[in-house]
Formats: sequence, C-alpha cells, structure tokens
Amino acid sequence: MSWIHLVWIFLLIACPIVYTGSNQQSVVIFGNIAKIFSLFVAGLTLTFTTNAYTPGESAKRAWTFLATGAWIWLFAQLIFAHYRIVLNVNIFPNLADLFFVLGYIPLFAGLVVLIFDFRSTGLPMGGRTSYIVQALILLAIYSAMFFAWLKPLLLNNDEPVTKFLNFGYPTVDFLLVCVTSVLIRISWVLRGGSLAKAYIALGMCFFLTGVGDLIFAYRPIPAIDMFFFSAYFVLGLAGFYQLRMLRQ
Amino acid sequence: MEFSEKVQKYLAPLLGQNTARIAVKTFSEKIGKRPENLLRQDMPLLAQSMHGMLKTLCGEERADKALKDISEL
Repeated sequence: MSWIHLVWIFLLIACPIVYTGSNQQSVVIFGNIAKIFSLFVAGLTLTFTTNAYTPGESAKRAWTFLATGAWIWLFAQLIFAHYRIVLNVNIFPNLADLFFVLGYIPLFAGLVVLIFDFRSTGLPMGGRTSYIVQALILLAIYSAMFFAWLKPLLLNNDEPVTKFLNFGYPTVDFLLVCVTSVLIRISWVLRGGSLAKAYIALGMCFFLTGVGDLIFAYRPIPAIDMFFFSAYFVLGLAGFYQLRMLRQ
Repeated sequence: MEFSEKVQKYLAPLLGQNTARIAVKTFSEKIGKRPENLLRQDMPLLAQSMHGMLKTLCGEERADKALKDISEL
C-alpha cells in the first residue's frame, strides 16, 4: 500500500465525521482542500511518470497528455475554491468550468494515444465483433442514461449554459468511460502484469468522475466531493503504478 | 525448461502470464519459429523482435534491459 492509498483512506474515513459534525463552511473547505490536494498528487505522479520516459517515446506523449489534463483540472479547482472559500459565493457555471472542460481534451487525447500505442505492439486486442458488441452495449447504457437522467436536464428551466454543462459533463465522462473500457479490455489481456494496474486505475478515475458529475447535476451536495477527490487520487495512482513499473 | 518458458517467466511480472505467453507465441512466429522449437541461439533475434512492443509498453530503458536479459537467457 502506498502513501497515496493511506491519505485517500484517511480522507474517506474523515468524510462521515466532517459531513455530519461540521458547519457548512468547514464542509466546503474540507472538500475543496481534498480535491486540490488529490489533483496536486495526480499532477505530480503523472509528471514523474512522463519524465521517466525517454524523449520522443509515444508512451511519453500519452502520459504527458494525462499529466496536462490533471494540471488543468488543478487550476480549475483552485479557481473553484477561490469562489467557494475566499469569495464565499456558489456560482454555477463559473470560470472554473471553462478549465474543467478544457482539461478533458488532453485527458481524452492521452487515453486515445495509449490505446493506439497498445495496438501498434501487435499484441491481440480482441476481435472486431467483440468491439461492435461492446459499442452496442455502451450505446444502450448511454440511451438509458439519457432518457432517465440527462433528457430532463435539457428540458428544465435552467440557463442554456447550465443546461449545457449539466448535460455535457456526464456525457463527456461517459465518452471517457467508453475509451477506458477499451483500456480495461487491454488490462484483462494484461491481467496479472504490472501494466494492467495503471489502466484499471484510469478506468476507475473516469467512472468515479462520471458518477460524481451525474449526481452533481441533480443534487449538488458537498458529499459528492468524495467521488471527485477519490477519482483524482485514483488518477494519481495510475501515474504511481506506471512509474513503479518503469522503475522496478 | 524450454527457452519459450524462460522468456515467458521473464515477461510475466510485467505483461501478465497470459500476455507473456501470447507475446512469446506472436514474436516467435515473426522470426519463423514455433515457441517450443526456440533455441538458445534464437534468443537475441527474439529479443530484438520484441523490443518495439516492450519499448511502447514499458519505455525504452526497460525495453533495452529486457533485450539484453532475454538475449542472455
């Protein structure tokens, strides 16, 4: 177990105490600091991983994209914390959302590069039919999500920007989950090896972010921060596992 | 122990048992051999053929080390 696991578990254990026994402002401060710290950890481990590769390697490009995404999200989170803690206002959407949206671009690119890299190795990735079945299953899940949870968000009386973000965040998260589902399949091929751990962690990160964003669209309660800081710690663990594999 | 098993054993902690087996099979065939027919003298060529895959997955440094280790098995 690494120190990242320990800090993450400690924060998760602290959550019930903080969320039940503290005032509103303390809860906001706890959530924001946990998210900033976890994103800082993610940014650092992903950057160390990037630096462990030799310049020019395609894997370096993939991990650089992921690290960039984590740093952009950290910047977004700092702006968000400034609004919530320093200015003591709760505006949605705000400037932080611009950077949260921007952060998705390098994260998505990083995942795609990882998949194409794996494809270039010549190792088996599964048949075409199995990918068609996987795509159909994911489409069915998204359709169910759309009609159950996302469509009502488009039909309510919110501002267009709010609607766009409430609908957009879970949708983009789902896209990332789709891409990581390919990585998880690769992890299954690589099961038992050091490489699988990093890919599984990436998949878990985007799944947790997606669940958090979906709950946030309906009930923006402070306890959702648990999903977000957990997702960011898991993103940090992905970098940590990859780095450990490179150095072992 | 056959040479294919030795390579598998070397790669397993990194790629997993299953992928290590597949990698040995795939790259043995690339050098025109069946895994069970691999000989000591095939190791440098097999290692060389695996280098690109290992470089992509594990980075150049580890791939170079694997190239050396497998060649010397």
